[in-house]
Amino acid sequence: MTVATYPVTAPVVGPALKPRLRHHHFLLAVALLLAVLVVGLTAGAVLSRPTPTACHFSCGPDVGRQYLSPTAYVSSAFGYRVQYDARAFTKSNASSSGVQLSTRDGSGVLIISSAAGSDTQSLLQLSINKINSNVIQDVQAVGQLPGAEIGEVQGVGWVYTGTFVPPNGGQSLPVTVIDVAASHAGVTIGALAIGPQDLSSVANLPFGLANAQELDQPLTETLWAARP
Amino acid sequence: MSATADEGLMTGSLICAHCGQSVPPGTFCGFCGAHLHEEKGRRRLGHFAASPSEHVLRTALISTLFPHLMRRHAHVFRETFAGGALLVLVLAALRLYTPALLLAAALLPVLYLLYVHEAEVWERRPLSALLATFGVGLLLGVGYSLGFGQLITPSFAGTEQGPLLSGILLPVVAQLAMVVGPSTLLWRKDLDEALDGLSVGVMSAFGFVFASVVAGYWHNLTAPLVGQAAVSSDQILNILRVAIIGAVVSASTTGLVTVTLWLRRHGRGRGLQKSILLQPAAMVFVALLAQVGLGLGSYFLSSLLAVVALWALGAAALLMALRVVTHLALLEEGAAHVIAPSSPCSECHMVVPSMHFCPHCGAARSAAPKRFRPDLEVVR
Repeated sequence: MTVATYPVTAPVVGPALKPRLRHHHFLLAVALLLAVLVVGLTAGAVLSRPTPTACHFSCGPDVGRQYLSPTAYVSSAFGYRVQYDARAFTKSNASSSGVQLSTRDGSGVLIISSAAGSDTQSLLQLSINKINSNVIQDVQAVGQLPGAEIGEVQGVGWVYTGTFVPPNGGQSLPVTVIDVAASHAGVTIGALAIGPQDLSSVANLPFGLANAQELDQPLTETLWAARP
Repeated sequence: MSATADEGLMTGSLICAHCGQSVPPGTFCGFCGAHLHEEKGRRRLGHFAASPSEHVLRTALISTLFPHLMRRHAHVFRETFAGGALLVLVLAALRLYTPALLLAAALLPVLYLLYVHEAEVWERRPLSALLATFGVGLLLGVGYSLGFGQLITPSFAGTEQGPLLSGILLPVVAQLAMVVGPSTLLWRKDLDEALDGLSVGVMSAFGFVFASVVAGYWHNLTAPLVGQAAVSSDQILNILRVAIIGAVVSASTTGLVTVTLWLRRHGRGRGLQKSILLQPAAMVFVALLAQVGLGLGSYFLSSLLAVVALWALGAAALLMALRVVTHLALLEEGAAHVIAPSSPCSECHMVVPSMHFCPHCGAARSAAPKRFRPDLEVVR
C-alpha cells in the first residue's frame, strides 16, 4: 500500500482555463465547415441532375409483351380470375380475395384485393392505407386517373407519387402509385400498382410509372366471375 | 486522516475505504475516483467521471460523445448542435430538401472534428488518426451504400432477399466496417487511453454514416433544389432518423466496442472495476445485437413514426450504455499510482494535487483536454 502525505491548501480557485477556440471563432469555424460541405455537395448534386431525353416523333410506346407462360390467380371468394405471365411476375400473399404480384426484378408490385358490394371509394382508401409508410414515404396525390379500368369494367382511380426508401440503406428513389377500383355485379376489385417513377421517357408519361404496361397487363386480362 | 501544519500549508492524507490507498483529503479518491464519504461510492453513479456534475444514468449527447470538453465550453457545442438541428427544420420548411439532408448529415461530423481540434484529442499525428477513422469511414460508407445497393434488390415489401440480408447481415457488415479504421490505430502508443478508443470509434462511425447517407440518397439530392411541394413531415422524420439518430446509434455502438478494446489492449486496467461491461466480447455482442434489432425493427415495422420512435429509443439506450461503459473505464484506467504537483482541475478549476481524479470534484484527469494535463509522476 502506498502511504503518502499531500500538501493541503485552503480551497483555491485557479484561473479559468481558456478554450483553444474562442466562442465566436468556434461558431465561425462550424459555419464555414458546414457551408463548404453543404454548398459543395448541393452544387455537385444540382450539376449531376439527369436531364430528360427528348423523344420528339421517333419513339412511341413499346409493344406490350406476349404471354409465354400464362398462369392465373383465381379468387375463391368472388370467382374473378387474374391472368398474368409467370415469367414476368412472382405471386405472393395469395388469399381468397386477393393476391400480390411482384415483377421479377422487384421494381414493381401489383396488389389486388376485392370486397363484396359496389363501394369503390372504400376499397380505394383501404388499398392506399395498406402502403408501408416506412418504405414508401411522402405519398401525395397527383390527380385522378382517366380511363381507369379493370377487366373491361370502367372504374375509378387516383395517381400518387411517393419516395421509396429501402429498409436499412440503399438508394431511395421516387415512385408512382396508382390506385384503381372497379365494381361489377356486386363485387368490387381494387388494384394498387407501385413502380419506379421515370419521367425521362414519353412512353411513361403522363404519370411516369416506369413499368406501367407490365403492371397494367394483369388488370386488362382480369376476368370477372359474371362477365360484363 | 492525519494532517500537520507546516508553514501555512497543511499536509495530510486519508485512507480510501474503497481502494485502500493513502490519498489527499477531499470528496473523491484521487486514485480510484470513488466517493470518499459514501459507502457505495466505488462506482459513484451520481457523478459521471468525465463530467462529475452529471449523473451517469442519463442520456446526454455532448458529455458522452465529447467527454474531453470542459464544462464551460460544452454548452457551446450543445447549443450549436441544437441550432443546427433547428436550421435543418428551417431549410425543410423552405422546401430545400437537399441542403436540409446534407446539413443534418454533416452536423455531428463537423462538431466532432472541431471537438478533436479543441481538446487536442489526438495530440500527436492527428492527421493520420483522422485519415484512419474519418477517411476510412467515408470510403467504407460510400462502398457500403453503393455496393450493397447493387447486391440487394429492394422491393416494396422490404427487399427481395428478405429480412436475413436486410435486417441482419447488412447491419452486421456496417457495424464491422465502422470498426475497421479504428482497429488500425489500436497499436499506436500515443493513443492508449480508453477515451482515445472512444474518439476514434465515434469519428469512424460519423464518417461512415455521413458517406452512406450522401451516397444512398444521391438520387433524391439531384432533384430540383427547391421542391414544388413542401418537404413533408415524413421526409423530415426520415432525415432525422438516418442522418442524426442513425449517427448517434452508430457512434454509440462503435464507441462501446472501441472503448473496451482500448482498455484491454493497452493494459491500463487496475482491476478495480469488475464488470462484464468492460469486456470487449460482451460489447461487440451488444453492438451487433443493437444494430440487428434496429435493422429487423426497421424491416418489419410498417409505420415510419414507429420506426423513428424505435430508433430514438435505441439511440437513447445506447448512449446511456456508452456512458456507463466510459464511466467504468475511466474509473478502471491507470496502471500505477501517480501524483504530480498541484494544478487547477479543468472541470472545477480548484487547485488540487494532480492525480487520476480531482479530489474535489471527481473529474477524471484523462477526460481533461490533453494540453491542460500535468505530467504525472509514477509513485510505486
